[in-house]
Amino acid sequence: MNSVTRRQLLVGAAGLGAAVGVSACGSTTGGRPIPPPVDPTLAEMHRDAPSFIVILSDDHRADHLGLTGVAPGLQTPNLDRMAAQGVRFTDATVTTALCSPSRASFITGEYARRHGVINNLSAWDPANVTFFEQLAAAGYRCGYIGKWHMPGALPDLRGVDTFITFTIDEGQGVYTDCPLVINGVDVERPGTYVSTDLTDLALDWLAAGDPAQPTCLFLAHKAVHHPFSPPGDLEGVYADEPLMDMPDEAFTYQPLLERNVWEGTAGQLSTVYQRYCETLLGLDREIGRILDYVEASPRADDTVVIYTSDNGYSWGEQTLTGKRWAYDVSADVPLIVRWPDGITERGAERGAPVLNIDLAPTLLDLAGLDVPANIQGTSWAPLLRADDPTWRPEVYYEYFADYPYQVPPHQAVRTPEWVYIEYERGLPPELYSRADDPDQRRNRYGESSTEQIVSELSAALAQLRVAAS
Amino acid sequence: MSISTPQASPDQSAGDSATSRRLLYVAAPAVISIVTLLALTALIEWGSGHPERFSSVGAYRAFMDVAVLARFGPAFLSAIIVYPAMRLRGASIGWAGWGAASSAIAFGLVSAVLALRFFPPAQALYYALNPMVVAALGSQVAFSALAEVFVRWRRHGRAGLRNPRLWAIVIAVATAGFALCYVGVIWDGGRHWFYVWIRGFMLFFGNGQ
Repeated sequence: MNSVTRRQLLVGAAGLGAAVGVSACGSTTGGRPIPPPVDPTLAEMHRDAPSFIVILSDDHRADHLGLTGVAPGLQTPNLDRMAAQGVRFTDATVTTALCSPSRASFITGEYARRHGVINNLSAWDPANVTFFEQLAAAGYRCGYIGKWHMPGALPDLRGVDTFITFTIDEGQGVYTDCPLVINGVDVERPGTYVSTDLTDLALDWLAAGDPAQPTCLFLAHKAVHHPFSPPGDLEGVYADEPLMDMPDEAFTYQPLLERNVWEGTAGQLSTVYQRYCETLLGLDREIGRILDYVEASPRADDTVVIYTSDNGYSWGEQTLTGKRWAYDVSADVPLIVRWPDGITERGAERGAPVLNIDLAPTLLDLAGLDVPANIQGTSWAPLLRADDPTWRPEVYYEYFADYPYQVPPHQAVRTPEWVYIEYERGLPPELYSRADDPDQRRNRYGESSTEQIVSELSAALAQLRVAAS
Repeated sequence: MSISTPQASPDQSAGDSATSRRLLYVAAPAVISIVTLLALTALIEWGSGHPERFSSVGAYRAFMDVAVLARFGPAFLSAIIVYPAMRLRGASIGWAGWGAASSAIAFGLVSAVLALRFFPPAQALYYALNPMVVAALGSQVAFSALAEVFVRWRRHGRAGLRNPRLWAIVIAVATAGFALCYVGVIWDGGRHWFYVWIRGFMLFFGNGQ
């Protein structure tokens, strides 16, 4: 709806004043776990199913791992260790490169247009079904710890026995002293750093379980989202380290451009970026604590640890700071899987295009459960063993307007070779070669040599758009 | 808004054209500030993302950095010059205040116009209320209040400052203006006011679809 009625104007004006007070309070309703009734037969059947630990970070772009060498001084020893022990997907993408929609897609297996969290202003629909419910019904002990960040009141989350999150700053959380909502109860956390605090709680939750029972922990970090605050002992550690070279079009005060300013990156680009890398180093350290725990646990070989992120992040490419766009730096995410019992080719890389909506069916598949019809993703479990030549050739991307960010609504089709984007307003279509132009600087749309590929990709996009609906 | 005329102009009786010239003379500082803002905005739009239009990447970066930072001058700080200049050219307090605020208002309107590329008109108009614009307005109001002290001193010397009511108003207005600026862009990077602004948006437009 684009026009404003007089009534809406009056309601809005009255509400704006109230919003001033409400926004500072972070009042909590909901946020309680709702463990489902367990089917004893199913539970017995799945007693030997693998356990899962899914670690979801925020705004971690795919190429920022120590092992890639993109940022020479950047260290992620624990993520590198995970990759060396398991499989790394090199073309993992999210269906919408934005926090709330992507998070909802991870846990439902659905595109944003279906689960309804289309932008950061859209509330979670309590009727949405998550993989926790199916896993819990089959005897899994499930827990959700960390960033929820979907508008509206916190839901009572079905399928988990523990739901720990935060509502402060519209659900974004803060890096230090971040108050939590622990199973529906507001709890102050003075003296804590949020990545460490969430990891402490995750380790406590893991330790409290029955080792014989399969578990599924979803640990969603605030890091490495803005304001990019590393733990105190890591502040400045990259001051003299060579990190990624900024692209030619980037400049120092680019974050103050109109289209970037709301990303919370105000300041000098290189300084903010350095803090991003330091925050990532701090997150990596916490991931190391989880890995250490898993390796020492009785289910060390039968626990699937998955690391990924809700979206990537541009650091100067096309003078952008942030995410949302269908470009690789924005939409591609790291995806690393460690599972000694299920992965024989350790350190392998898989180039098949996989999506955030594939997580839910993958977990259900690995647990030996049926994948419900509402789930739109595909299990990538077979790819842990070998490449699959029949895997999907392209993926669909969608973005809905998210005020006040100056990114037009758009849809894209991404293949291993190309990204083709159609905007609903404001910009002409774009076509980029992913192989030759990884930062997507040269728009090939309109070139005579690409007419055929545009025609094919446009047709594919139309089909994918319908299928996603 | 009327313009006070402390000194009678010799050509005042020459009619409308003289009045227009005088209006332009008084408003010139505000007009220059707005034109500077618009010119810098246009240069930023032209140069951003186009290092190939410059002799080197270094020249591009230097140009863009200077342009982006310089734009904050007319948007946030021009009252330091515009307000006293207009007052000393004969403008009333109200007229000079509008003149000082005009660059911040233009900043908001330009933002709204640029936002039309991405949002429907009503949402683009709401964009003009964004925290940057509100902070710019607060800054200009605060500096206008402080500049009034300078104007009084310039006109009347120390005697012009022996007025408790003047100080009370100046302190109140400057505090309110700077507070607005602080909340808009400085306090935690402005994110608290940002969330208020977005909640206001949601009251009017829901999730914006």
